[in-house]
Amino acid sequence: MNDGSPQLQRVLYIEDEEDIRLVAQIALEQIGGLTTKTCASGPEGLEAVDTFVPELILLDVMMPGMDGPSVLGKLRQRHARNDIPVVFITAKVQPDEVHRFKEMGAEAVITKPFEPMTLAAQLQEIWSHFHAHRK
Amino acid sequence: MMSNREDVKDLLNRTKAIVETIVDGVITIDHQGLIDTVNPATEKIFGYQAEELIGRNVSMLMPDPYQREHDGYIGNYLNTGQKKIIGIGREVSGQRKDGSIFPLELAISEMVVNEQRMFTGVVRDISQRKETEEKLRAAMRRVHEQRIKDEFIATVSHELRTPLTSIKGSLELIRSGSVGAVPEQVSTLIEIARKNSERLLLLINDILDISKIESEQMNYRMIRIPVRAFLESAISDNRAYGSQHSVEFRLGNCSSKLNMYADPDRMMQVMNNLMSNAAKFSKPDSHVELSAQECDGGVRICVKDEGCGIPATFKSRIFDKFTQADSSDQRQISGTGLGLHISKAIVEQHGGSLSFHSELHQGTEFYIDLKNPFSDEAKPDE
Repeated sequence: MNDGSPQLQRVLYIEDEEDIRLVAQIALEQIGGLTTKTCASGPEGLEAVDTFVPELILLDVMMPGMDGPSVLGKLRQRHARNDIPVVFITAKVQPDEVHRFKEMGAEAVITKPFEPMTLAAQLQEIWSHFHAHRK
Repeated sequence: MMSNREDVKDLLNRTKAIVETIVDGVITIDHQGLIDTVNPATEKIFGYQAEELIGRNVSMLMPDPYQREHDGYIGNYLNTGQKKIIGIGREVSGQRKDGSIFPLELAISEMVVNEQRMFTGVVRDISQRKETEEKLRAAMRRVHEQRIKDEFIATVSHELRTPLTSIKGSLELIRSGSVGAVPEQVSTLIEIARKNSERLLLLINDILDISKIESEQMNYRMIRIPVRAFLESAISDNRAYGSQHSVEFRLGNCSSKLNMYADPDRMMQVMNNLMSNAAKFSKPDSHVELSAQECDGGVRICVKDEGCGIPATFKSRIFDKFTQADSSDQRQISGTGLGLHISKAIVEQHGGSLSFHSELHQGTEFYIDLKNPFSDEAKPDE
């Protein structure tokens, strides 16, 4: 279904937990029909922004080495494609933390455990909202 | 250089004035440790009059073990020249006339008067400074402990939810059939696993909330909320859950002008708890009504069900942790038994109250009462 807003097609998911990457990839590709690339770390993800050219980045908050907020910071400060909407995905779910993540520049925050059957639809909705506000 | 007797007298007067008005105690003792002079500050610090001190051994101003060992210190210094305190300021303990012991800073210097070796001690009562330092240390300890607890909660939350994300996600995908068909018996077992992972997640959420509430770490983002829109949103959010129990949520009386001051996420958490309880304990094909009105200058939100009611013996324990009504029917009903405890704490931390009225086999009404800073503009329009 298309309500006139552009359809989300390419998602980059940066997540250090291998099992969660696999579950999300199946959910996004098989349920949502999205082209998905997964990366296991922040630096790997930042490289993939150039090679994979995602329309939206799904970004884990707590990762060893470079955490989600640091990845977002680097993307916004230095990267040529610094306007890609970023959605944080996190197991830290206190409302004040969600508020803080949005203040950092996240387009939205999805909490873990996420619903695999509706994950792609959730991202599509965030994507549509992002484009509507851009206009 | 002194040119005449007046100058000398003037200098002596000045010196005397300094010694008598200085806030530090000044004590002179002879080579045997006997007190020769004390200034008024010394009297004030130790609680003695000068005449009670002069001629007596200075060790009377010290608690044990300094008292017993003091003469030894002086003797040792006079014989060997080995300094322990003399010429070196240090913190020691003093003893007042009333027996109380207090910390003091002591600086001792040596002088020769009329060919006699004398010692001058300058003492400063540092009780207040020590007390402030101790308070500061205690505050820093509390901050440190709080930070450890914050980190613990964040870590527990992350470490418990991360494996649950994989477990729940995998089970959902298998259950949906999107990764291939599964035999019926496997499907039944998958459903059992999925339901129990859901239950585990609820328990983790509730325990984390309890932990935050009990350590007063729950942060509230207080804003003005239009009550009618809030209740409509609560109905929309819980409609699917109500359907699972064949219960319909509906909006009763509520003025569109009514506002409340609350954290919308936490207050919605309370509504979700009350509404899910109402649905779980209602008869199939019944209604749960949400309404709100101005009450005692504040706002009262009511969640009314047509359910089984709360047994009289259970009413006093309903807000306790890990409690559910203990009848054979109700033991079948899922839940952690923490929801009402958390809801009550959240409402109370808003400065409000959570109460109920229940008739067995007729239904229950839960009331959220909030103080309303907007009450003047919140008059019902009917």
